[in-house]
Amino acid sequence: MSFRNGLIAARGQILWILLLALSSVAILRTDLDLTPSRPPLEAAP
Amino acid sequence: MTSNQSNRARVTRFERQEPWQPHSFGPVQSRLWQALVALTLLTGAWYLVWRWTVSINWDATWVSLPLAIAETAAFGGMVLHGLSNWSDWRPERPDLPAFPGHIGLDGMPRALSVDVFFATYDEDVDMLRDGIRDARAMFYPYPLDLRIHVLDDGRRPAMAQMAAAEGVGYITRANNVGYKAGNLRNAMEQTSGDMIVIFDADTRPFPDFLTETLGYFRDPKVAWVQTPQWFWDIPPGVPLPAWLGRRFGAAGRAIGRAVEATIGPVRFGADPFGNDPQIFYDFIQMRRNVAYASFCCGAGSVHRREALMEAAIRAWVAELERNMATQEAELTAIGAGGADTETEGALRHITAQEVDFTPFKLHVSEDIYTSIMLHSDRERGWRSVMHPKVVSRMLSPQDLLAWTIQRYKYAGGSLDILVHDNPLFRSGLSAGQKLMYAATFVPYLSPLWTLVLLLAPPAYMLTGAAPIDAYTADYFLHLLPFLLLNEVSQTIGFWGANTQASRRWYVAMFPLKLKALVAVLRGERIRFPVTPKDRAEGAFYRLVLPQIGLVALTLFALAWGWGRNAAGAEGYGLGAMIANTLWSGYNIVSLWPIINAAMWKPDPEFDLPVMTEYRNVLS
Repeated sequence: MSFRNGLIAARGQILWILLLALSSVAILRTDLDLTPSRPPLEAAP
Repeated sequence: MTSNQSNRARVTRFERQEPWQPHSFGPVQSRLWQALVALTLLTGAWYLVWRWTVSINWDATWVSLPLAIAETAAFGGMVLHGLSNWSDWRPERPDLPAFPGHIGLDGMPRALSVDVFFATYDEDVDMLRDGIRDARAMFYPYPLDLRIHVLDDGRRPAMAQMAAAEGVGYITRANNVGYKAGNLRNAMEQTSGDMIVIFDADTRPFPDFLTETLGYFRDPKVAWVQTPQWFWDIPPGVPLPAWLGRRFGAAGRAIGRAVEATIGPVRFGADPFGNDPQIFYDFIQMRRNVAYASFCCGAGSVHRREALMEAAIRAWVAELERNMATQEAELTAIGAGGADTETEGALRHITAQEVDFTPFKLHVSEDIYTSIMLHSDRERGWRSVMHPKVVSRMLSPQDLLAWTIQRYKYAGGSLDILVHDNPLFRSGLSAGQKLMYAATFVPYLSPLWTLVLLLAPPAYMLTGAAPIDAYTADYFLHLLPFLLLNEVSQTIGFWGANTQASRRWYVAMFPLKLKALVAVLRGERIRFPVTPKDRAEGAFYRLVLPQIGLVALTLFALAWGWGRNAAGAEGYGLGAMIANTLWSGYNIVSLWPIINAAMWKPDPEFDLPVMTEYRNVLS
């Protein structure tokens, strides 16, 4: 298979990887408040 | 109509479909793939260690423990997948054999003899005729004693007449014991060729079928060669320019053409049932070659008769000895043990008549079962070869019901072998072969963990009970490199194939595999109950009710979860919501293809001609 044909076949996959990579960077660099979804154990009554 | 006219009429647009070209990895791509697999598995292991040691929510073990176990099991499947696809090594193909002596048989100066079997039950007579004519056109550069036989389990006079008219053999029997495996066994008893070629009723071999495959048999240990099964009637879908043209006229067509000129062809609704077998044959089976562990898939395979017969004799003797031992133990238990030689001889004679002698295991998955039997013959060390090039064409299941029945049989047959004659505990198989068979069979257990992975996000959204202790940046830091590397490695390792579609179908099939698993564990026969209404066009929803239910549940849970988040409810933190929303989206996308297949109707302009043209020519 030529590289171009391989690239065409893999374009959906490549797009998905880019999306995943961008989301990863956004999640890890953002200032979103990623506080634990429940109080830490030591804070529980 | 003359024969030539008839042949010309059958050269349709459909017949000009091209198969895939076999992939070929250079050393750089191979090393890159292996490095990526290693990195993916390492980051996966790192993530799992973190999951088990740091992130289990011990306050909600009802959801957190099943999820952690499911993730670990899924990772186990990934390890098997990575290792079984590790090497792209393929065996040399020596020169074609001219005489039986070249393939390790007697040195008599005679032509090689090849029996070609077309197994049929109720298929169209004309379909068989086309296949027979193609088989007769198979080329071989040396004298060859080629004998073609129709194996008709339907006992149809019209089929017998066609076989006689074409000058080929017609073999039938009084019953249908053992279905296809029994049919093949019956034909083997009545033929004597050095090699046996197995075709299904819809197989159309190419002229180079024999020249591409027989060379491997110079290695006297090669028992069979499997070739790729290529379906030439897969719906091609609607091209983007036509799709846009129908909605926006000339402007839409122009935009579609411009887009395709930039990024390549785009098709809507292509291969709606995920039938394209390229990944399976061109990658997964090919990569089993390194352990000589590719398994037989029936149609499109060539067998050394000697291997099948020898393995059958060994299996028959082993079964006979087992039965004798059982009977002797029973006689001893009732105080009649220690029988004299004459009694023992009589007992052996009776038992021998009760034990089946069968070159092909009489089983719903006779192909893979026979493969295991041959691979585990330690004394002979039989090898198998997967050949890369497509050298025949076949027809695919054309609706979701036919697809479901076929896949249910695959799943049930494989699980039956796994439960009752597990190849991992079978002596005779090499470690590499055991790894390959594990990689084949373990995915059939996947519904056990897939179901948990599908239910986890809605469970969290509806209850607020997080399966993971803290959806913090730490969680994403451990998970995302693993997910990303996995995607990159799959893209590189299966370059040119649509791995996304394949993985989606893998997830979407979970109810089918679960049903097969339950049937096998309950000792039920592997058969799929079909109601008449299933056969009505478009009425396939009953087949995908679990998937529809899960998508509905996931959507409802998403709405509920974000509502609770907006209300500031405890347990609905933003990190957890992001993670579970992305995860839910992935689940819905994974389940969608099979729901879409239940609703799918062929496009009259682009799909129908390809799907029906050949069938219409026949009818």
